[in-house]
Amino acid sequence: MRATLAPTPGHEHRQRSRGRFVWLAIAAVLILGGVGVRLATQGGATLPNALQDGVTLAVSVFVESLPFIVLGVLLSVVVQVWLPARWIERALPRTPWLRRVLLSLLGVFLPVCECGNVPLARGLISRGLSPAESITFLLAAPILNPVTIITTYQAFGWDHGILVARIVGGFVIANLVGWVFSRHPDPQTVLTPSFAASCAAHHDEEGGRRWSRSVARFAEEMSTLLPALLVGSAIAGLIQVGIPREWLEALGANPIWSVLALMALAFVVSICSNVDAFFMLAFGSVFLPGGIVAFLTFGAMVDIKMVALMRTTFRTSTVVQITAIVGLASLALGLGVNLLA
Amino acid sequence: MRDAFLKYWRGILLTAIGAVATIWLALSGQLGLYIHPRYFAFTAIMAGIALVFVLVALVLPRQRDDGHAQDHDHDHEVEPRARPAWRGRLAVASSAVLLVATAAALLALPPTTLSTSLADGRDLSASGIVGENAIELASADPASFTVKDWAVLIADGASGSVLQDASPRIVGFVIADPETPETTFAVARYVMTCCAVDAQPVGIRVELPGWQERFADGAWVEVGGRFAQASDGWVLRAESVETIEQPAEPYVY
Repeated sequence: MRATLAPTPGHEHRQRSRGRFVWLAIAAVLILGGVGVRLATQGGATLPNALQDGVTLAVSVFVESLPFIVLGVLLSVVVQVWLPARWIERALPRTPWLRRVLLSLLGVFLPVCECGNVPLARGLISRGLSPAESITFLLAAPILNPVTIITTYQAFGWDHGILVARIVGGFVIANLVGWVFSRHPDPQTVLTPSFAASCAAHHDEEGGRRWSRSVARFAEEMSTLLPALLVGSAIAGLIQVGIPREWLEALGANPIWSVLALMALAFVVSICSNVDAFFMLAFGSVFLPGGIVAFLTFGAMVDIKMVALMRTTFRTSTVVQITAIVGLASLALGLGVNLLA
Repeated sequence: MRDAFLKYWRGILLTAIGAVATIWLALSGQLGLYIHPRYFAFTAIMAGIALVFVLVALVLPRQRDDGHAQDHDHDHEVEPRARPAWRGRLAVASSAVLLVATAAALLALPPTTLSTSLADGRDLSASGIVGENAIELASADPASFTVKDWAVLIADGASGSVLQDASPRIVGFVIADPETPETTFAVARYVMTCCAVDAQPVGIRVELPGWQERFADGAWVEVGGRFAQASDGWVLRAESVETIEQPAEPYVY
């Protein structure tokens, strides 16, 4: 694959700096080209309504998520490059289930939306946490964090036990999934081969200047996560224009269908867990409380955007298993609330 | 070069486009077309930090021992099957398409609001709007009320005296009433709680026979008039209607 003739150091250096200017030039062409087209067609370039709405929705998901991804990647860089290697290991207890319980409460200190948790979970794995432990964190943190709890309280108060069911349900489901994956005979195989490889590589590497390693880690994480976020945003935006909302709303009053319909809606709209309670309130009059609880737990853990992001780290089969367990558990939770309420 | 693109430069280029687009939106005051104002500062700061990383990566030499050589060795340990050449080419080609599509969507296309057709047939009442207290609203100055505030007062059901005394001027877009399109339309706006994905139309019904001869479905208007109790709830009896340009901030929050 790679040329086997080793270039001389001076030659290689020249090639590297030339390579850098190639990328600088490509960046300039892409950005100035885009800006140029906009300025040249001032107000003239319009798409058909439905397509334009799809693009607007996709861009809004991306613009909303990008700062959280950046924050998540920065935290991940801190964990990987700046924290002493054994620090996390020493800070956590030895008992596996207790470790997972503590990790599922980590979101209290890191009120980042679910998409920002993916880079952090990746950083934790490459720092030696097991996949099961990082999955527990990834699923619990969007729900068990102060911003989500406050917005859910503002939206629903104590009505129908929605708030309590969301918090307790999120905690139990995340730890359930973590427990299932902790039983895996060969935990590293739940990761994609390329991510497992880069974790192994980063384990060995302690030398080098920290700042340049931070930039390298930032670039690598962005190379992995942004394509996933962009594709996820595009699908989430376009699908909303394609599926009329009335179809889902029509199912709202049935005790079983309301739960399934709202889980489908949660999967499609890919809205941040910090604010999804406000979004859901609009449906509060139409849907039964169990459906709302299922929306608020399932959607915070799994949606189109999250599936695309999780695929950067976990094998497809792992993502399917996580989705299935979280989906079934949320369904059971929702039906249970409908029975009791 | 291919590995360097997929592992490193793809992220730098996409981050560059995303950060520049975000900062451009913030500077031109159009960030509100996509996200709620409470995120403006956070979004702009994170885009600024991302841009610093991009510039450092583009200007300073890439760290030598950190790149492909080392990762490549490990690739072989964990993943003995080498990636077929066509898959590598496909990954490069699809990444190139993604880069161009991202630049087109974020930079080349002008930022815009959701079309009014998405609001057709949706429930326009304020029953799902939170964070507004109808009692507080009733004692506030109605001159600054948006269509959302009026809709909250109407949905509250107990604000009759406030509504009766009011002479509102309301800005929004026009949606024909599904039942009596000849005499009634709704003046509506999208309410955003987080980002445009959760935008919900909220509106109030306006009575103005023959309105369709004066303006089209979807047009932006400013309506003045007085509220009246009709058989199926409050309507605004229009005394004046002017068509206007779409406001710079089309959403209400």
